[in-house]
Amino acid sequence: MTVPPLIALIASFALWSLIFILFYAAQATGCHLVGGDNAMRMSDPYILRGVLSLCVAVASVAMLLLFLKSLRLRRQQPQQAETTSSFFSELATYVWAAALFATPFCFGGVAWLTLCGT
Amino acid sequence: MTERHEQKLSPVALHHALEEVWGTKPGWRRLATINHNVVGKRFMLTALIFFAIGGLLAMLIRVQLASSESVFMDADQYAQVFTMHGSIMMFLFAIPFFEGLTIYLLPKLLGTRDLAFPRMSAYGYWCYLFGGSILIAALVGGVAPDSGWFMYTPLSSSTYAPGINSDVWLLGITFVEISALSAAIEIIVTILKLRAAGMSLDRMPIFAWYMLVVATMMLVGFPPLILGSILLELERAFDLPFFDPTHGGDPLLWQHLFWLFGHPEVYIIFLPAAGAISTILPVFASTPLAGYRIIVAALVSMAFLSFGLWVHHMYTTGIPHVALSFFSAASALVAVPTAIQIFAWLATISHGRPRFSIPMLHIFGFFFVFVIGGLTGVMLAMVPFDWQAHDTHFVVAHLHYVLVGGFVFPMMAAAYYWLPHITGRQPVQHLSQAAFWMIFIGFNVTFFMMHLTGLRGMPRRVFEYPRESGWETLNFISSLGSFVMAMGFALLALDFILLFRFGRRYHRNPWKAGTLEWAMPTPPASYNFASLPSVDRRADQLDPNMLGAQLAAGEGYLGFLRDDRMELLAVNIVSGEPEHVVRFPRQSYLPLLTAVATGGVFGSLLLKLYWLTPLAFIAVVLLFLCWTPDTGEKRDMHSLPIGNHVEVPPHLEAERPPSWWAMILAIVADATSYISLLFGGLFLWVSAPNWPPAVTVEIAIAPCVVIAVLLMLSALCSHRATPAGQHASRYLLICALTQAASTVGFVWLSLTSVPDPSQHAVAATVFIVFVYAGLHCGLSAVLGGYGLWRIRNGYVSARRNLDLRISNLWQEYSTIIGGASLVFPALLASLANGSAP
Amino acid sequence: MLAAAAVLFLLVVGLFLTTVFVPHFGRRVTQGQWIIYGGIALPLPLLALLTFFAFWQGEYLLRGAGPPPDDIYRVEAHGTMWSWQFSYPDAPGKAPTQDVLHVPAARTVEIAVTSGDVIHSFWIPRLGGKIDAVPGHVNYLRLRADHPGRYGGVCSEYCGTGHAGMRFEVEAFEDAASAAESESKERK
Repeated sequence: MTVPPLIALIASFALWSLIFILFYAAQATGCHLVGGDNAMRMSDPYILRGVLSLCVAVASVAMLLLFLKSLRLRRQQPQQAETTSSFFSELATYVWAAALFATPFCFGGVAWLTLCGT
Repeated sequence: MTERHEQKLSPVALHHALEEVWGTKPGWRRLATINHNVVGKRFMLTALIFFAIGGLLAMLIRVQLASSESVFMDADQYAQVFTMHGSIMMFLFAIPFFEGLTIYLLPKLLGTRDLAFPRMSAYGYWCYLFGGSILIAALVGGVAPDSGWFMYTPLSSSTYAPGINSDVWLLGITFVEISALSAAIEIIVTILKLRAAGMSLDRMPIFAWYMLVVATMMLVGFPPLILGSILLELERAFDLPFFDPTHGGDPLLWQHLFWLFGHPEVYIIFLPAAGAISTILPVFASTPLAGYRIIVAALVSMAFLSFGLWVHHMYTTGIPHVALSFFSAASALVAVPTAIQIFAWLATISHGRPRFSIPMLHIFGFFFVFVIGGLTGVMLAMVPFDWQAHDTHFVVAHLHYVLVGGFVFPMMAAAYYWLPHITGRQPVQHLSQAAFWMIFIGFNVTFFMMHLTGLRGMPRRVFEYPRESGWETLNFISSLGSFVMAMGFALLALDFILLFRFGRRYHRNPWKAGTLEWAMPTPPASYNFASLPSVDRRADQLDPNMLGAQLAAGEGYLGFLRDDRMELLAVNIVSGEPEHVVRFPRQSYLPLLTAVATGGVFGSLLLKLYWLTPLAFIAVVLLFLCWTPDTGEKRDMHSLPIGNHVEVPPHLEAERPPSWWAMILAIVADATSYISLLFGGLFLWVSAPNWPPAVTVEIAIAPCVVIAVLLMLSALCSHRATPAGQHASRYLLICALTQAASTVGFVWLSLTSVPDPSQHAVAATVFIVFVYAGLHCGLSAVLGGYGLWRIRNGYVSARRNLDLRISNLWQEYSTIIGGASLVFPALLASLANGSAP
Repeated sequence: MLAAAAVLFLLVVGLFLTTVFVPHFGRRVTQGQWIIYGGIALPLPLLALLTFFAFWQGEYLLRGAGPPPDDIYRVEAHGTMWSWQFSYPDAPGKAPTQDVLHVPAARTVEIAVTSGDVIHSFWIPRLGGKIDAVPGHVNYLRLRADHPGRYGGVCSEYCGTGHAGMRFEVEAFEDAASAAESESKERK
């Protein structure tokens, strides 16, 4: 099955968006379950932090593996310089690289910043 | 009976024949026009009038702030003025203006004759005009919105704003947003389907890529705002407490919904302007745009990133630092795609032979102003800096640098670049330079000072400040600058009027551009191209002079008139090969009438005539059904010649014509708002005070099972009916009846399972989810009935089953919505009851 | 940050003007290099550094811009249209004050900010940081006044027609004695 090129183009960042929503939801829900706004102000919810940090690492590695896989798939197809398919494979590579960089960059904060409360 | 129409007419005869069908008729019949040339110009002109009103309000603000303890306006008047200034500039000027420019320009750049759904563009225009007029009427009547342009609750709720003011904003803006959503769908479908033959996606002019991204962002950006406005209006009108903290709602939910729209909005406004620069700048550099591919990649990345930074408007609301860090990092990252574009433009200039002209002067203004705005934007993206600068005049300065730099200057460049296209005349030049420098200097004097007043601690939206604050001199300088700027804009308007009146006529392609919009006589004919071009390279490196003559002579596709119908060519989304002929409906008053009926819905809500609302709503649905007879055919055509010995089927017999894609996109937009609603419910559970609720929501299992079975049956029947086989009518009847029964079921659920939706947000949310599902099933039932009517009148055959396929999309979607709406309330209710600490 | 911003601004506008007016400028650099150096290699490290620094600074400010606070002085600020009511749980017996906040100098103060009606925002420009008073929520702001003195405060979120006048004052005292003295002066 071939993926339509426009879908392939946005796949990487769609994944990033999904991770974004999940992290934001997990952080908010986690804090809520651990004890609401007030209880958490001074003591660190280390279990939640550990779980979220692990998730960031897993998500980043998964993005990397998917990126490498998509690169390999694209290498296998014969490419000519100025065709529509080469256009899309080049674009998808750029966008993948951006999404890959953005994943640890945006979510790395869970490892060390104040997790719950202000 | 596919007659051959390939006998060649002379160019003049061809022009007259096409103009007869495409052209706007004189007198009152102007109101029936659906032509994109006219609608686009109407959009732009109306937006400019609103811009002038908004600018006038800005001058009032500057007069008020020129001195401390000013008595020019009182606090209430001032609140209306600054709220309306922001709302007008955002919703009534910026978005509609670029929509208008796009409606006018896009078909020409793509080499086609109109947008995909011309009646929808006309309907969108009327909605925009009527909605905007409601706001202006309120301003004149002294009851304009006064809670700030982002309408934070509870200040805008009925407790603290009992008057009509906030209703005007919520209903007026939602009315206007109909035009934004319909424009978004139209723009996407037009770019994907209605291009010149051979224009594969990698050959599109870069402006089309920009608009594809922008329209997609609009498609998912506007639904949260519309949803939020509806919820807030429901709270104001019927006490459903979504945002009321005393009943389990949360004011922060409004902020999330608003900024989930509001931040992408900034990029929605900036990107069309950047697209104009990417189109104009290479022409003046006499070289193709550098880095076409990486720019497209940057746009896609930017579109996604821009949805990941809405909370940077909410750093001070008490959200934990980790959550802020996600948004802060994304806000910093979004600067990179912008930098890529800026350096791509610099690379283009450095490798070309730049000419300096008036549009380039405005592009210089853009570089100067926008770069400052971008840099202060990165500063504000940093959490600690924002804690200090948030809600001060520093932010006011920043947002004006971004919006004026990133939108107004590029749009002035675009105006000087494309006005010759609209008028057939070239600028007079004498006033242009003076107008630019007055605006440029006036702008910088006004807003640069505001950075300083903000850093010295002046909050936004104060109507007076104490004399000893030390802000007076800076404010006075700002006010002086703003008067210079206002005179500059007056001069600009005068310059444009002179251009219309005295501009020099020119032959063709005055800027030596390589894009298709210049391959036509200017001002353009209503049908753009006498025959449609085909393209064999990137569509910014063409020769409009040669191409224009060939197309006028009818040498391209569809260089004739068939059955007195408006026709254009649809292509394969990716490759751009001709796929089918799209046959447009005729001009009609229906868009205007439907917009009037839609105005009835909003007007009745505004005046609290709630008995009238359902009637007006039914009138809207009936009027939309009246749109359909003109789009059907009662016979199979198989294939139609399009000239140059090519034959393709008509769109009614094609697999995925524009209307099919439009339904997919409408479903995407609707699903976005539905998902926002569900997330809103979960957000309240996590964040809102006064949970767990005192009320219990009890949902009986048995009716839910019955509804689920009905929904599945209807989806199955809809699926079976779609091929338009022997028993299609029978299946459709069952589908319509089961969907109608589900509608009744959801209404019953919404009335019985929730004790009183005004008691607590959980009850209100469950109630609204049921109502949402009920509306969708109701529409499915209407579509089922519509299918039956189409079959009975001979509009449907095994080849012409497009109506059924489109209805089927919606019916299956509403089955999914219905199913989710049966599960979600139970989930929320159990979470609510179990959330006791 | 300001200096870096000024340099970047001059760089971009300078490059624009030079490329437009100096023929052949920058032509030896290929277009790809322009984009990669200027659009990616230049901003990305700067942004990464800045973001990291901002997070670190944010954590520092969240602690109240001082050493890890062990003896926090707690106060409560309650915003209503259009005034601030301050009460002092850490100073039992101290009467609530209106539009004047008394805090000790050189000590981290934690202000619990709440609202009785609409959203307000608590801000003392010279002491840095602001936090919204959102009805139904309690938000905390920690800050310290290093020196005794009077500091002006404002409401920075638009909250209705009295928004501009919703000002208050912070008095930071060296010790408890001068606090009492000032209070008695105010009563007169």
